[in-house]
Amino acid sequence: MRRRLAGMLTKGAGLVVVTLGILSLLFFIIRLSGDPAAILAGPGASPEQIAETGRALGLDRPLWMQYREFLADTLTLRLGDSLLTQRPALDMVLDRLPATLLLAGSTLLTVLVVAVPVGAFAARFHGRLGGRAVALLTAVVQAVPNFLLGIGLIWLFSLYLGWLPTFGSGTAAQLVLPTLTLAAFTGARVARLLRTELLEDAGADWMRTARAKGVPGLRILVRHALRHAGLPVLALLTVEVSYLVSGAVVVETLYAYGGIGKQLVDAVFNRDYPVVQATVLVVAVGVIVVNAVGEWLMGVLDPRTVA
Amino acid sequence: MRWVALTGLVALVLAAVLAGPLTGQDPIAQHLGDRLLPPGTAGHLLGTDDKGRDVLARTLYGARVSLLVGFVAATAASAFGMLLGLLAGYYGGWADRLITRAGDVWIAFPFLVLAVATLAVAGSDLWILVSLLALAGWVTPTRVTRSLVRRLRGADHVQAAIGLGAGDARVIRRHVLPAVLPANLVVWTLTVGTLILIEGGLSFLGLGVRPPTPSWGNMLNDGRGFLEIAWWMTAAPGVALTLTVLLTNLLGDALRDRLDVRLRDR
Repeated sequence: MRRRLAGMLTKGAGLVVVTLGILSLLFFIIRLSGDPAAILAGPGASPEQIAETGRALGLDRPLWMQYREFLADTLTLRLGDSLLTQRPALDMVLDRLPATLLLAGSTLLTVLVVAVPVGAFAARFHGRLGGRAVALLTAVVQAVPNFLLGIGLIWLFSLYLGWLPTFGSGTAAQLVLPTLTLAAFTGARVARLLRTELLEDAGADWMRTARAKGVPGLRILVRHALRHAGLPVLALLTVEVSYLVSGAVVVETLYAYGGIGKQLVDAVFNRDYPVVQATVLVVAVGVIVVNAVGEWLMGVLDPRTVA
Repeated sequence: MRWVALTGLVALVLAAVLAGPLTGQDPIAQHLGDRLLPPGTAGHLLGTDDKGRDVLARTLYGARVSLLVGFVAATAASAFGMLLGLLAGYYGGWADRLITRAGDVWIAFPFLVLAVATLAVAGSDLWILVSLLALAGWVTPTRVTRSLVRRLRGADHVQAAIGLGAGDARVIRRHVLPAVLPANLVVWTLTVGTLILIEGGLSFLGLGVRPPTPSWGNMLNDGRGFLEIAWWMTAAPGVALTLTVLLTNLLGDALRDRLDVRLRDR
């Protein structure tokens, strides 16, 4: 248990370092660009406002003093106000966070509900038509970029069939297309991994024993094979979270879904740096939490890994 | 399968290089009289977009950008990753721990959030984009190289070379590097596809390759608004992008089988 905890802590510490590194990079790029006051005052600011911003931020002071202050502010979560709405940037991100978490949750659920049977099917019919068809399908799904899949789904379900809304967030119907779009890639990966794992396990002694003592097929699959193959799948899903967040940025923008990903892209176009910084910080905290939970779950599922 | 994928990719590269002579069209100049012509119109095999530009020409010129960015960034990522993997696998110790840890952490952070934030403050210069993409792809080559080198380090012929007094540089050049190249060729091929996808995503968001320079990502973004009246604006770059990534993935898989490389990491 202690080693696992230590591993969790080092990874968490590493992520904190990376996050601070990214925020510092943003800090230095802004400060070293032509006129940081003009950037930080926001678009359309008058010369007086720019001068005022420069004074307020102490841009005339040495760079290291500004950086020290920036670090102190970041660590105490004083991220400043949005240049556009004048609201605290962190509040704006936290307001949008539930929508993104809802999308992530429904995506994970969809991945599990679809990919597990598909992977089991592909392993069961390995080498036959059904198995080959699934292998081909998952390969194609992995090659289709999420924004293209999203456009295709919009065309089919919204424009052609007229079943679902094209954009927005808040209702269940508006959650369907973003979820499907986001779930496709990860679902294909999980199905492929599960197929490989099940095929590798198929010849194992404990599988033969289970079959020999007459355990019914479905029970073997659920109690023996899936339980064993579940560990690598869980490990994959933990890693996959970073792809899911990246995907959410694109998918939320495509469907104008009101989560932190869409807000991030909007903030980038509005040159609203405090919101960009707050998003990076919140995402990093989320990733640290997910990794810790993933490690903990691995320990619960497989006590052997808790040395 | 290998030949299908290779032929397809070579044809694609040729089409991209010969985009000018093949189409005889300017991908950027606007002809507002010829807006949204459907595919098959004389002189416009795949129709025109909302600014009267030939969609085929833009798709082929877009291939230049996507392939160039993908190849250059994947090569940089592979070179960087192999170097780190050699360091970690050959010397072990704290360098190994640091590099392995850094890779785990890097993979865990959502890359697009980093890329979007950086492009927001640094602007969308093509070389900034390529550098960012190279950063997106260094972990897999590092991991693959590291695990191969670790195994090689203890192999008899390497130990013998060291015993005969060969220096690190000679051992790495003569015995280690040739042995890690096949696996890295496979990884490189797969990385090209991945990075082309990421470039497409960034350009789609409007943060990668900026209009009017055509890239598949920004063409898809343009086409989105005309989905109901001009499907070809979306279909052409969409098919091109998917096909390219599918071909690189197929080539990677075929090479892996051919070169007998096992990649647990993917």
